Amino acid sequence: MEDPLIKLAALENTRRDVTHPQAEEPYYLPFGDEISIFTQCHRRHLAVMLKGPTGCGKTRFVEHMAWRLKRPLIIVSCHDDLTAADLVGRFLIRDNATVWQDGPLTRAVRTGAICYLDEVVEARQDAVVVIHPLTDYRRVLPVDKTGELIEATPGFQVVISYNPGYQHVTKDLKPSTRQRFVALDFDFPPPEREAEIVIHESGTEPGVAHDLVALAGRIRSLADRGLAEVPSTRLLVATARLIANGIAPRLACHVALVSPLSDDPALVAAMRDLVDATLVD
Amino acid sequence: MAEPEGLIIDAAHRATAFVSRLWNHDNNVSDNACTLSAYRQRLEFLLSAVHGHAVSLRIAQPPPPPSALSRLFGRIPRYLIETRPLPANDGAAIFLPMQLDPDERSALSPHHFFRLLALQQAERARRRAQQMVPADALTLDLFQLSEAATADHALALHFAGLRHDLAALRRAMLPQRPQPALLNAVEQAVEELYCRVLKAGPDVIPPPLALALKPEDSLGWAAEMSMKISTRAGGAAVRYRGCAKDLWWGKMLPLSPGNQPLRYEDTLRDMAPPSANPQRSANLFRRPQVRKKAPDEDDETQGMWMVQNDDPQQHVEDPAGLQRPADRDDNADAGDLADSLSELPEAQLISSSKTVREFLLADDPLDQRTALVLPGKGAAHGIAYPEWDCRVSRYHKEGAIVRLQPPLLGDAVWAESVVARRPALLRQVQLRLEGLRPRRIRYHRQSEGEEIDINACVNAFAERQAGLPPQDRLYQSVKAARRDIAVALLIDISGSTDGWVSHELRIIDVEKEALLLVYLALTKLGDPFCIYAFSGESARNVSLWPLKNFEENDRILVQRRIAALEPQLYTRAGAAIRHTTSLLTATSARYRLLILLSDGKPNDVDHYEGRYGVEDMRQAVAEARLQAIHPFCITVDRHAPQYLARVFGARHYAILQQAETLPVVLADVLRRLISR
Repeated sequence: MEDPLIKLAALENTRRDVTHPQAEEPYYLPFGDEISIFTQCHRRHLAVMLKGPTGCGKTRFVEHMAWRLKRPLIIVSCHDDLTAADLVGRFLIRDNATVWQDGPLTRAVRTGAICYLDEVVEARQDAVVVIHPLTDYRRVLPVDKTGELIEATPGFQVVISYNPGYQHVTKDLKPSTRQRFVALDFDFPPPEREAEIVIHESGTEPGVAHDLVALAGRIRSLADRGLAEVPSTRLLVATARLIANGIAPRLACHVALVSPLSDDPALVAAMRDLVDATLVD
Repeated sequence: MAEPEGLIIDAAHRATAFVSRLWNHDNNVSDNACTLSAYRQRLEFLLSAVHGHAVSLRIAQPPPPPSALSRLFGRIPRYLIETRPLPANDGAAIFLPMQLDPDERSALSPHHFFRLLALQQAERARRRAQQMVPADALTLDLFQLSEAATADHALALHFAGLRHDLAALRRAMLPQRPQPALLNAVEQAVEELYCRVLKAGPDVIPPPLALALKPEDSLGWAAEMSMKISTRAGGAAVRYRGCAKDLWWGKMLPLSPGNQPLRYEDTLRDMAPPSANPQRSANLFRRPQVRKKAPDEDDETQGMWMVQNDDPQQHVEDPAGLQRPADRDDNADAGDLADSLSELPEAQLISSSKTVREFLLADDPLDQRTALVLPGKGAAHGIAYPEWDCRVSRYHKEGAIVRLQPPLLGDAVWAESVVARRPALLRQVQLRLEGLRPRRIRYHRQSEGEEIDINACVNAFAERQAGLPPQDRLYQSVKAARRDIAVALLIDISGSTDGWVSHELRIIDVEKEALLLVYLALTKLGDPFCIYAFSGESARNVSLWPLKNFEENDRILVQRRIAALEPQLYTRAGAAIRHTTSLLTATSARYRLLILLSDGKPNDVDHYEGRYGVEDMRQAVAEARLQAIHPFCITVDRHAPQYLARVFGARHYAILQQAETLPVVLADVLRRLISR
């Protein structure tokens, strides 16, 4: 009879968080020289930091670059309980023994993957410090629990993302961490490009996409009037998908664009006014 | 036969019923939700979203009542007399009428109506880049018509959702137009042009009007058209008296003189200390326009003399604008002054370094160049904080000055007596906070964790040997023990805390007891916290008494300071919150709580009351929140839900049904906020 635990271990080895480059190109519309800069950084073993508001295409850019560079990609979404052990690995008990299990970072180091740490400021300080020796000339990962010193495979690259919009006192990158990266600034694309992205991602009509982009542009100017987060391109794509699937445009905007952004009654009312004025059902 | 008394009583009864019916009817008209105030804030948000910068929305002034002489001799036709405030703009601010007429409300809902008028005026204001006012009335009206039609066209183009509303507004304006029979040839031509615009769809510009890309195009078209109209009507013989203005047409006010506020500090620095005379205030029904000085007004040469035998009759503005008689009178009634001032169409603006005697409060906010702030040398001894002015949507730099006062020391026996008198209450507070004591907690049998749980492993091994299904919860972890929290308690000790809540306790007594009990319980927790009391009078004197600093540990001293608290003056909450916020941001704690104990709305001797005070407080709370501080308010004010939800946000305030429960509620609030 087959041991269930062995089966479990076999499953562990084909981890789902590694995405291998597929035949189809992940859609990405460049806004500048970011593709050539990233390519050079990859070639020269430089770590990259992507700065920009939420939903402006940072993750999609990394997926696109992994496809372009033909590297496997490991995405780690950082949260405030993410420790160094979560990245490096830990001992697991398996079948009368303790077994070392690589964390996502170690796996990336061994296989030469691109390791993308999303929203890295959310992680605990010790988790951020782990990547220090990987981001300078040493390119090694010391694993103190096993006593290993793993040298990074040539294709390995660390990419972190970071949203400077969150002015959180306790959540900021240490200066010593910041200096280890080449920083690419991301922002919401200009209206024409944003409309193009919305059309491609949602399959909606160009007229609706342009209206949505114009609406988003107007709502974004409320940012300094108390709106904590402005509507992202991702939010626009979600709204456009609803519209493309037959939801009335105004209703779609109310549920997908306005309500998620704020709870302040006056702000929500003003945004609804804007929706009603901009779109026709 | 009825008695005469019975008749009189019956008549009086009927008269009272009639009057009260009339009164209620009037109130119904004016008090419903159709006023601009209900929509003002959301409209301001909407305008700043559309135009990308803050556009202030103000209340349009009703026109001044026509004087008896102008009614007698003036040749103004009845339909040209303005009877109601009209929407207007001065290139920067938008003015909208406070209310709508009932028949207008039937065309569009008030919300849609105000929204449309605001967007229209904002679009027209956007086009007014520089001062371009044609000299004669005919060209001016044609210019305005062309600009208004172009602005509508732009709105219809960019905001497809507004087309229906625009068309409805135009339809609603048509029946109100004057009869053509009343108009002369020139006026008829303008009227016909206007009606043609009203009948056309909002996205078309009916000929002979043309789409004006720039205001200069409108001006050129207006000059050309006015020539054409007057030649067709027979030259200069026919005088153009004007065109009846309505909500669509609106008004074009002179451009505002820029956003640079005048700086009055230099004069204020030499300002004499506030006089002993009390300041008076009254409400102003409408604010007169500022009159520009005529060039020959203050000429040196003296004209014809008029010998006056009697004392001059008191008037708000003396003819030469030199000195108001009211300035010399310490006992003049501010209400009378407000009444006579609001009847003037315009008045001259004089700035003076003397102390202000009366504040006349108009609904209409002040021009941006009026500097009301009184900063000065005093700031050297205090800490100046900005203050938010909702009327002009901007901060007054050095709006309020916080002065830290040395706390008084009260009787040390008081604290002991409270503890002795209320052991049950103290126990209750301690019980509620006890569960919060920081400690390291080890969580066993976790599916994830830093360490292996040996017990769980042994059990799992044994169970597996016994043929039971495998266990996967084999780890243990130690969760963050330190809460890393800082708490600031801010206590309102304004004069209103002198109110009695029961036959032996005032609000201040309840506050003091609650403070003492919670203080005793909090010291056991070991988290850093501070206690400040605040009150004060005027923007220059916001007093803060530090009862306990973050690092202070002297229990007796703090108890004596709490014991010495007595009701003080007013509540300028914004400045106090800002100061406490700055103290909290200086701590290294991860979570910071600001708890305000209050007994009512913010108020002060000057304009700091009503909407101004609440909005400044809201802004101060928003600033605190931006600095990762959690503000919370506990109040005994029963009317609080009306404004507190807006200031602190839903579920960030608690209203005490019974003031005596304050210690327990405060402990509950702390527990809820800290333990999350």
